[in-house]
Amino acid sequence: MDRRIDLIAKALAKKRLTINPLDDGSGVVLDVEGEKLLTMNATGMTIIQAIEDGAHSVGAIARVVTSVFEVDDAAADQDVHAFVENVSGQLK
Amino acid sequence: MRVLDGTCSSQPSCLLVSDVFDATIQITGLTAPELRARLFERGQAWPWHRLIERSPLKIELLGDRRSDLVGGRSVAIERDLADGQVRLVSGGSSELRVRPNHDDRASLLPASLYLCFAQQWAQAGLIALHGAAFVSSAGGTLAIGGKGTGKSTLTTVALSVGCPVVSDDWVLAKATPDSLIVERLRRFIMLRRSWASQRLLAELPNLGFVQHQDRPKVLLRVRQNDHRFPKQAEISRIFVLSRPRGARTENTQLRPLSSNETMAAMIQFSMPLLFSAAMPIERARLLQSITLCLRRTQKLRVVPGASLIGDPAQDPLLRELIPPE
Repeated sequence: MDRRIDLIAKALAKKRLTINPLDDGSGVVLDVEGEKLLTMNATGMTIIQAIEDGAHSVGAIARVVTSVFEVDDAAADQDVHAFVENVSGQLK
Repeated sequence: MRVLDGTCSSQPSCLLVSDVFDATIQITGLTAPELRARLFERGQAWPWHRLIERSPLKIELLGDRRSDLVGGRSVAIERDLADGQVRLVSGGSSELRVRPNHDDRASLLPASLYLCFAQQWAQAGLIALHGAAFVSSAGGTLAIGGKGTGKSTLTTVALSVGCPVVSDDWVLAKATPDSLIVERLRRFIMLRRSWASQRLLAELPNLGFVQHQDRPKVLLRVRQNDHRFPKQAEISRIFVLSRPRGARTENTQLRPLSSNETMAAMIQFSMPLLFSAAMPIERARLLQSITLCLRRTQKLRVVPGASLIGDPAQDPLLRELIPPE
C-alpha cells in the first residue's frame, strides 16, 4: 500500500497530478499525462492533500482524515485504502 | 469580439479585442484580415503554413496582468500540436511556431493559436469554453459538451422557440461575485447537419442558413446588432450535455449536478492544460472564476431525448427552459 501512496506522491511532485479545490471542500484532480479528470468529494480531497503535504503511510493519512471528519480510525483506514487503490490504479 | 490592426510598426500584427470584458490580445505575425477570416468570416480561406516566414508568432495579453498576486515564478512549457508548436510561459506571453507541412485551408482557428488565446484570456480570469449559449424566459443557459452531445440540436431548438442565441459552439466566460457573463467568440452559427437540425431548420427558412462547402454542416453569418443573436448574455444555469449510454431515449433526461462534476466538465471542455500545476497563474485565475460561477448557477446533466424534436410541448428540458405560464 505504501508503494501506491508513493506513486501518487511522485505524480503530485512531478506535476502530473494537480489538485483543483472548490470552496465546498470537494474538487477535481487533473491528470495531465493520462488526460483524465478525477472528481473528488471532501474526503478524497483531504486524502490527496495530505499526501501532497507529506503523509506517506495509511496511518498518517488516516490521522489527517480523523482530525477533519467525525469518523473512527477503522472507517478512515478503509477510506484511505479505497482511495489509494483507486487513484494509483488510474496512474498506471 | 473585434479584430483591429496592430500597433507594431516593424512586423504584421493585430489586436483581438473583447466587446464585453477588459481583455485585448496582441498577435505579432498575423494581420487583422487574416485573423478575421479565421474567426469571423469563413469562406475566405488562406493557407495557415504561409505564416512560417513570420514564425514565431507572439501572442500577448495587453495591460496589467498582476501576476505577482499568486506569487508564482514563470514556468515555460511546450506543446506540439498538429498545426504548430506552442511555448507557454505562465503569466507571460506565448509563442507559436507554425508547422511548415500543415495545410488546413478548410479549418477555422488553428488549435495551436486557440491554445495561445485561451492561455492569455485565462490570465484575465476568462474561460474559453466549448459550449452553446442562449437566453430563454427562464434566463441565460450555457450548455457545454463535446462533439455529438447535442449542442447543435439544442441551439436549433432554442432558435425554433424564439430564444436569442449567443453562440452554438464557443464562448468566453467570466464570473464575478455578481454575475456570470458569456461572450460569443465567432460571428457565425455552424450547426451539425442532422435529422433533428434539418427538421427544425425547415421550419425557419427566413434565418438564411446555407450548406457549408466542405463539412456536413449548415452555416449562418451573424450580423452585428441582430437581436436574435446577441453578442453576450448573463447565465443563470449550466447544462452539461451527455450522449445517452444506449439508444436515444424518448424523453430528455435531466439530473442535478454537483459542483465538482460541473467543474470537471468545465475543465474538460475548456483547456485542461491551463488547470495544471505547470500554469500556476492561469490556474489560479480560472479557479477563482469557476468557483464564483458555480456558486451562482443551477447545474444540470442533460441527455437530449427524441421528444426535444418530436414532442417539444412534453419535453422536460423545454418545460425547464420555457416554464408554462
